[in-house]
Amino acid sequence: MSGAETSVRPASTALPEPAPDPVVEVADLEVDFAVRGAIGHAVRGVSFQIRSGEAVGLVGESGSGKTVTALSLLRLLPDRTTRVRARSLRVAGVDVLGASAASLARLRGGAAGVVFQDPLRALTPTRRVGSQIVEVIERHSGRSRTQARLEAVELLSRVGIPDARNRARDYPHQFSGGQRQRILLATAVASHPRLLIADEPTTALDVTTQSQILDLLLDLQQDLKMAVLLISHDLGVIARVCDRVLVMYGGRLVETGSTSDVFRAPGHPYTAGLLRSIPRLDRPGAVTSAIPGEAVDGFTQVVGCAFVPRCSLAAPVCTECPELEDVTPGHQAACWRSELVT
Amino acid sequence: MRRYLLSRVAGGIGTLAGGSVVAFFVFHLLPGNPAEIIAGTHASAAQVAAIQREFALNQSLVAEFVGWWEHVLQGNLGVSVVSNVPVSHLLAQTLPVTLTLIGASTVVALAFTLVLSLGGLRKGSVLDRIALGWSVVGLSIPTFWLGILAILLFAIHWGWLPAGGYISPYSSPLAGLKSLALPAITFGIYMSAIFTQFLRRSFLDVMREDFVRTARARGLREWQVVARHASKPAMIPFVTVVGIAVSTSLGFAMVVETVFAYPGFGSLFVQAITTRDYYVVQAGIMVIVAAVVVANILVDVAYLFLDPRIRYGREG
Ligand SMILES: Nc1ncnc2c1ncn2[C@@H]1O[C@H](COP(=O)(O)OP(=O)(O)OP(=O)(O)O)[C@@H](O)[C@H]1O
Ligand code: SF4
Ligand SMILES: [Mg+2]
Repeated sequence: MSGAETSVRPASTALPEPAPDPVVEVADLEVDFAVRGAIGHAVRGVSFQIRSGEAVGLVGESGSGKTVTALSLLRLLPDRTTRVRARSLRVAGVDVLGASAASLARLRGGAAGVVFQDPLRALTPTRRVGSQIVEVIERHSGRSRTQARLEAVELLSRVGIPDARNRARDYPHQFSGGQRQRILLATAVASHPRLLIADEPTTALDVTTQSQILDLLLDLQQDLKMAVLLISHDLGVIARVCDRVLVMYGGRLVETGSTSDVFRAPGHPYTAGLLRSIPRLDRPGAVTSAIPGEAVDGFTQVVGCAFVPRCSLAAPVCTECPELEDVTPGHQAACWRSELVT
Repeated sequence: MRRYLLSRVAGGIGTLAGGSVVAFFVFHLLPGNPAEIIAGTHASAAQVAAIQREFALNQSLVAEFVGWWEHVLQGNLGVSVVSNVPVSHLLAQTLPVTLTLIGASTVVALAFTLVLSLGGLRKGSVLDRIALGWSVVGLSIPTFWLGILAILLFAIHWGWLPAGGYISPYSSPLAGLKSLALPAITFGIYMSAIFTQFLRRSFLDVMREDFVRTARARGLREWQVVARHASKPAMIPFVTVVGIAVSTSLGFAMVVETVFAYPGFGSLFVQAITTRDYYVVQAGIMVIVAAVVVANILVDVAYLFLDPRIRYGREG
């Protein structure tokens, strides 16, 4: 983690105990899915690691494969329509692809918690929010129901729900969007996981609430010394939370490095394009994508660099597929012409 | 929540009032006047006049309607023209029989449905395919044909069960259940086809919801995910379908009871129509409307249990 000292995020400079073993270890992850007879490729060979306590961002346009990558980590994709393969896929020491149903269930919600994008739909509408936290604690911490209830109330007030003791008995629809995302965070961290996967946790929220939720996320991360995989198409969000960033395009990683390195001197034209399209606070919603052209989807046949049709730097060499290579130590890009990227 | 229930009850009373207008005027819409209809085609003018006097049919329509309601509210539904028995007695005799039949059929239908719909949890599983086939085939078999087939096989060919008639299962359980078996299964099969189709769809939809994925991501086992997170949301649309099916089942009771010579409300109503038994038809229509209203209110009450969004209003 060479870029940690100069990270955009100052707090990470003093991680208390840098546990060396990776929490996440992914090598050559490929995910195919079947849709009406056709085979699509959502993820086409992705490798990365996340170390204990590290916050890693996964960024890319819609359809680039971020969610599919994250869901693969816990094998949460529908079995019947998807095929997940990898040379290695380990989360918190568990071999995810070889794991039994029981050890997979222990991993999910135990060593790894997940928060999904839409808090309106990610909480069960017919179940009290307290019970949705209690079931995680009971399942993974082996506490008695009474003890779990106490912890759930504590956790609710920890994530900023006022009057937690009473509100624990309420149903999701009785909370605002921001509060629901707080509750969802509480359910995800209830078992003190080593890894928190957050898939666009703030996208559905207004700007002020977004910022509060990110603060809470950072706070929890430091408190619980969790590793975080934060998915977002908003580089601003990534910059605020993450030590390191993974940039995804067309089911592949096209750039990785410390947030500060990647933001200061991107090594891939796609990243540079994303950086230019960061939504601006003074003109909310003004920019969706400043990169011209259409993104690659799972059914696109890709030969060579997938970015060719949209790249202003494209050259004959780009018909060969570029691999991730060092731009500077610890900062890699998959582009033949990364030195020309501005 | 109280407002919700009050509005449902008020709606039900409105429906009943509307239904009563239909029940009352149905004979007035037919060509000829009610007295002639009751008397039949071969009656003399004197007979018609006598009937008109007897049933007070010679007043204005409105006066007649008001008079009828006064009687209804006093529990007096008139007297059967055909059998001379008070209509309330006829209903008291036949409704329990039919309600028993509908209850038994619903139990049969729900049992079938629950087993088959577990297939809905895994799209494409064997059980799911059976459920899908079932909901298509079961719906397209005419109930009367199925009933006759059941009689031919189970009653006549094998002689296991009585071909028809009714023995109260409350006084003699074994014989009663035997007399109930064929009609209840025939009826239940039809209902279960409808139920299965909806419950399967409903479960398939819910199992794709974000909150089901969240529940799985909490490490819950699949049965816990279904029991704690998916079952209530999946039941919400299903309850509506059960309500509709049960409330319209009086109509199907006519077919089933006719096929199995069952002395229930359905048979009574069919007979009343063919014999132009004025007051019985009127009361029958009211009973059918009341059944719809009651079933709807029960469905609304079930929502209260299933859906906290109704129980506790919108924002908190
Ligand atoms: N269950 C599925 N069945 C079929 N195709 C799928 C499925 N899930 C994802 N895909 C496809 O996989 C590709 C990657 O999707 P994914 O959801 O990972 O994108 P994403 O980067 O998370 O995008 P977004 O920002 O919109 O969430 C897309 O082309 C999508 O259409
Ligand atoms: S490899 Fe070529 S086409 Fe791909 S991003 Fe680099 S310059 Fe553009
Ligand atoms: Mg996504």
